[in-house]
Formats: sequence, structure tokens, C-alpha cells
Amino acid sequence: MAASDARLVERLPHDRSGEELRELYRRYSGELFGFACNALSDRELAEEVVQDVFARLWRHADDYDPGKASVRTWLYAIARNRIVDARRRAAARPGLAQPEAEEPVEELDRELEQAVLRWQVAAALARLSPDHREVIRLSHWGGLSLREIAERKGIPLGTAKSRAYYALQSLRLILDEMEVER
Amino acid sequence: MSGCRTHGALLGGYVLGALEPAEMEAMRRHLDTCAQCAREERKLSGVPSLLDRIEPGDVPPPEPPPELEEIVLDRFIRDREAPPQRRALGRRRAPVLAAAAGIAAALLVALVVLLTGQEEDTAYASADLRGSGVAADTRAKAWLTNVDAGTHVSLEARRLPGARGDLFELWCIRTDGRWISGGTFMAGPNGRAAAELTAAVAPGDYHKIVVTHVDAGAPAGTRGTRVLDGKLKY
Repeated sequence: MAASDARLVERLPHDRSGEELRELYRRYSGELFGFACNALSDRELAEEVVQDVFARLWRHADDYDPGKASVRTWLYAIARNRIVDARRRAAARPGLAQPEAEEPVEELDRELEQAVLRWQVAAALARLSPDHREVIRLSHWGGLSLREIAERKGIPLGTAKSRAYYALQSLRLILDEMEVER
Repeated sequence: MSGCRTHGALLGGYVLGALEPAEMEAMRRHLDTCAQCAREERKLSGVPSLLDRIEPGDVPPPEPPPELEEIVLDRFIRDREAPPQRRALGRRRAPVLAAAAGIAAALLVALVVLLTGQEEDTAYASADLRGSGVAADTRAKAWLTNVDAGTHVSLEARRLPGARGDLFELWCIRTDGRWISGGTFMAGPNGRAAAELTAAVAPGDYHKIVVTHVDAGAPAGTRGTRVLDGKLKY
């Protein structure tokens, strides 16, 4: 059975081979990177944020208290701080436009929350089968009715209807698994 | 589907707003009378507003480059290999200083500067170096620390071009355009290198770091072929 996140963090201070860290990296690097990319619109800066998050994770593993927050929440909190730092550095770079005033913390947090949500929805959609993804794409963004989708794809209307239902149901399940409400 | 034999098949299309107008209306009326479909509809109804948050082009979401995993693991292993001293040093600095006064403090400072893996805690700046041309995949990270002799550069490089043992030179590019050498280093196995170098520049004197491949047989004093460069981040 796979070790829990908290157990992996607990073992980190004694992890000589890097296997515990590798496992945590594989569990979270994708979403942290997606989050950072969404928040910073810069892949290189997002890579740095991911590196810094994991460096902080292993250096402060002793400080982690599973009673206070999940590992995921903790990692996002670290990433959030790194993203704020990265934005401030970018804003202070000569030659770049200076913001009128520093963004209020609440607004920044709201924006970062949206960045997480965007990554989660995109990642959930990416996990659907191609057929399911396509029926959602064509109906939701393409504005096509299921009848038009059936005609375009050369499939029976009943198939288009059941695909639409199962696509939505799968998406809802994946989002629930990611703890995305609404 | 919802388990409803008459309208279960319409639920997905209804939630997506993709049924024909007459079917949409029929489903709307049906939901008032069918608990099964109403329950299922409540469960799925939030999905379209979540989809509104993204654009089709956002799928699939960006993935970190594969090499990032090894970079993170390398940093971790280096950190682990270097220092029990390092952690103890940070935590016990105050008592040590109190006990041993000036000489110990000087020794401590020297250790801080010299310890491998210490750079991120003491560096005043860093630079992510990226390759170009034939060395497009080459990557390196440099941490810069202020020392009496100038700037100490801790460099970690991956995928250096050429063969093991090839010679590379690190340069700090001053704001007046002068190239100040930080010294040379050799590529290790698999194009990796970890080098500790010192350049005669002070913080603020320079803005960029460049690594060149020292071409075999090139006359002395030539800079070689540029393989990496990156701007300083304070």
C-alpha cells in the first residue's frame, strides 16, 4: 500500500536515497507547476517555484504538523509565498512596468485560488477519455447540440447522449477526488 | 445513468444545455417530478460553471519538464550528503558564538562560505543559466556569495556539451561590458559538473553569468564557445 503523504514527510529527515522525496515530487509537482504557471504566466519562474517548494519541504519537514494542515495544503502555502516573492522580484526588475500599488493580500489570494482551480479543472478534463473530452468540448465551448455532435462524429444520437452523461459524471468524480466543490 | 428509464438518457445533454429546445423543456418539467433525476442533476449542475473557468487551450495543463525531477533530487542529495554540520551550524550559531567569541566566529563564517550546499542560505544572488545553439538542452544554476576576494560562485550544470573532461570557463559580465573570468572547471560524467569558483567582482558590478566551452587547441586568451548564460536574480 502506498504511504500517506504525511508518512512520507515524516520520513524525509531520514531519507538518504531520495525515494520519499521522489514520491512526493511525483504526487505534487504537476499541480504545483500548473498552479505556478497559471499564477506567473512564465514556465521558467514556475520551474523555480517548484524547486524552491521541494527544497523547503525537505529542509522543514520536521516542522510539518499533520494536525494543522494536509501536506497538499502545506505545499500550496509554500508555493503561494514563493509565487508572491517571484512576482515582487519581477515587478522590481528594471525596464518592466511597475504596478501602480502593491496588490492587496486578499486580492492576491483570491487570484491564486483561481489559479489553483483553473489547473484542477484543466487537469480533471485531461484525465477524461478522448471521446468524453470531445463531447464536452464541442457542446460546452463549441455550442453544438448533441444532435449536431452526433452528425459531425457520425455516431447515433443515443451514443452522443450517453457520452455526454458519462463524461459529466466522470468529470464530477475526478473533481470530487481533487476536493473541488461547486 | 440516473436510473430513470424515461429521461435518464437526457440528463447529460440537459446539464450541458445541448438538447433540442423541446427536450430541454421536457427535461425541465420532468425534474419537478422525478427525485432520481433531480438528485443527479444537482450533482452535475456545477460542472459547466467550473468549465467556464478555463479555455479549451488550457487542456492538457502544463507539465513540468522531465529534467526538473532530477534537478530537485540532485539538490536534495547534495543537501543530504553535505551537512549534518550545516543544520547544526544554523541552529546552534548563537551559543557557539557566545562561547567561542572572535576566533570561533571567524571560523564559523569561513565554514558558512565554504560548505557545499550552503549557498542558498548565504547567497546574495542566483542565476539560472540556459543553453543555446548546440547546447540548447544545457542547464545550470549558480549561487553567488560575497567573499573577500570577490564573488564565490557555486555552479551546478547538467547536460554540458562535449565529452567528460572537457574544459569550461565561467565568466561574470560586468555592466561596463568587461568579461571577468571566475576560473575553469571540467565536465564530469553525463555532462554534469559541480564547481566552486571565485571571480574578482563585487555585488552590483555585474549582471550576467556566462559559461564557455574552452575549445581544444584555441590560442590562450580566447573565450571559447558560449554554452550557457543567465541573468542575476537578487
